[in-house]
Amino acid sequence: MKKAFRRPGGGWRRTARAIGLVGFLFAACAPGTQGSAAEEAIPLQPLIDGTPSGGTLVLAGDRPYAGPAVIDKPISVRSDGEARIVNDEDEPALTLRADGIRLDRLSVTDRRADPKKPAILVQSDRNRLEDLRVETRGGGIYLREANDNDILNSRIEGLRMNGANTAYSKRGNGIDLMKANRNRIEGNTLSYVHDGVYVESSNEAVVQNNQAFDSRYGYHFMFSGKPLLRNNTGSRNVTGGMIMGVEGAMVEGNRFDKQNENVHSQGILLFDVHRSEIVRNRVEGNRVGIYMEGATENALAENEVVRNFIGMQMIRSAGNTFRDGAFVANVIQAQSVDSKDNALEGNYWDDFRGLDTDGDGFSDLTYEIDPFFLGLTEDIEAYQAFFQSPGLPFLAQMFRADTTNWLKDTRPLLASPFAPDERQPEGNRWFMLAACAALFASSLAIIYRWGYRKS
Amino acid sequence: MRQTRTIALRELKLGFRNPWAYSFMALFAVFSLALVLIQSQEGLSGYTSTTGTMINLMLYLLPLMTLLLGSFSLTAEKEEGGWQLLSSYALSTSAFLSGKYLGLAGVLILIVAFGFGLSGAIGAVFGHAFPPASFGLFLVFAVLLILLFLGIAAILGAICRNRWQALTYGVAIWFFLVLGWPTLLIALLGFLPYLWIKPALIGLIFANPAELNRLFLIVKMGGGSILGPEYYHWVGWIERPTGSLVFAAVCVLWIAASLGLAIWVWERGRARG
Repeated sequence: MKKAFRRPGGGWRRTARAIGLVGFLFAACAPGTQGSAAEEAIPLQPLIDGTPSGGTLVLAGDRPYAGPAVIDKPISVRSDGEARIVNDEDEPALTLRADGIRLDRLSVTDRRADPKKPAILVQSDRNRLEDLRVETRGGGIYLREANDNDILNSRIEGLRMNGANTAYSKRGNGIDLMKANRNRIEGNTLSYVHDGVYVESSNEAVVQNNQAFDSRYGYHFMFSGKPLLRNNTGSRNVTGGMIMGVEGAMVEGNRFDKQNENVHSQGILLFDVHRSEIVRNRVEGNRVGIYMEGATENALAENEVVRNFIGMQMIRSAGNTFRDGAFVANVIQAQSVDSKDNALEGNYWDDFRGLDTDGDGFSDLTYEIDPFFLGLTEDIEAYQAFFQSPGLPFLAQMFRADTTNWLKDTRPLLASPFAPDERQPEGNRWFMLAACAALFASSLAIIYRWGYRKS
Repeated sequence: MRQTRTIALRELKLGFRNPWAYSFMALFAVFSLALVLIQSQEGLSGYTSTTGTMINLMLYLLPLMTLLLGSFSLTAEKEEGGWQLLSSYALSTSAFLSGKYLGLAGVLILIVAFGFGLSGAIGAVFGHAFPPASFGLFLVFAVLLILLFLGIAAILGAICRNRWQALTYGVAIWFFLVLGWPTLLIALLGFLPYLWIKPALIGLIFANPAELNRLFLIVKMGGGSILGPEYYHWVGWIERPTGSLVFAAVCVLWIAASLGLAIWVWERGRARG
């Protein structure tokens, strides 16, 4: 009996050993497989040096190459699959020094953990970087005094090995521009980095159709002239789009959602921004949808502000316009202090029941925004615990004396200009109907049996 | 134990003979139904204006309802001679009050279940159903509000001589803890040095079941970041599963302490006749 039981066990162990042996032989015979990648990486620099100016260097898609390498002549480097360039040295994996270089379909892994050091450093003009995949423990692609470059359809992923909890200060930026003008950043995916796209002192950057998530700021512009931020998305960052010290920015068609975990989170943050256009954006489920401080003469139009804790916050801002937008299901729709001459017109406010006497679809009553709570918490932040406290409107009402300096929508729109959200899943609805009906029926039954009935 | 059970069942029966129970039931059901139907379909999940309004409805109605029904039930025993009769049996004050507490909790929870069930079902028919997670949190929030305020109601019932007195005190306590709370605190805390404000405020929040519950619910609905950097650690701590356990412990402590105090006051009254 015992033998019969033991035999299958022993047989299984033998089979496993045989499989292991075959696997080992196979691994030993196949050259250049993942197992020995680190040692067998081919140095990249001699291959680049051997490529004539204007030529193309094609890297084998299944082989690892070793950085760092400097490209100082206009060549194309591409791979027939996704060649992997690995770098452990102190220099960037790739440095672009000549104008007109093309990088295509490369994968770069940089293992240096220094947020100031990029995997790819661009110091020249008119280069085209396309379909790259960068995994980095430091920075992604940094442009320094580099103009007219294109960075397209690439994927940059930052430090993830310690989970998404790595301190932001230990991460590098995804794409970082410094004194670099007229660059185009399009169709990229940026995640687990410090800032997805960081633009400083660089004019006319075009940032389009990118995605940034799980980072500090999705898109961050500092002291740069006329940047364009269009049709990008940002989720779960501290702040989706942060624009600071900028004139003439165009922020259009972006979608920022779920920036709500951090106590400083916003969808769009405009700080010291002037004469810019912020149009057709949708900010949803953020801590603050649109935050403006020290911003003047900006035109905000057709923005959708939905389900944020605070829809819009305006501090020390003047001369801005906010038109044809919608504020829906925000816990507090808007707050404003120390701001004047801001014009709100034609916005839809879902908590407002207006009065339309002439039938033009706009209310003849104005929508007024009470600054009481923001004023209260500005001095003593601890009072933020009273957010939405049921007794607070009672207090605010008592202080409601002079409303002339309040932020007001002079002509609130009475029906939302935007199509409503997709309906909730039907299954959810039927489940809730059944559950609520059961709750109702059982409470009635108990009331009847133990409450109402005699005996 | 059997005494407590008997008193609780009797309380359940008495509770639903009381027209006040039905008027509160109607009030709560009608208002929650009206709110569910007014709201747009956007914002039914997470912390939004829709869910915020529901929270406020509960904060306005449930504490008042609990304080009045709870304290009336106890003072009625004194006024109508129920207690005089019961105290001629071998019935301890603690068994009596615990039974009253459990029975009243049953009555109030049934009122809330009725209101939520009705408004939820009709809301679902009209396509305004809350997602199960939000709905579940609301139910838990409502039950906790009832259990904590019922503790206060028990103390109130033990102190007051008749229903009029209970009504006056009950409304005053409700006003103090729900409506006037920010006004009073902001006025009082203004006298403290800046650095003391936050610790004092947190201490006072633990003394007010309405605020304690409300903040806990907001954090659990994912709205913790709105409380700002001052409460960063508190929020992070409540968000963890251990936060719920500790919160549950705080609630149990609250109920035990208030019920204990009520029993002590009642005992004192009994000893003095």
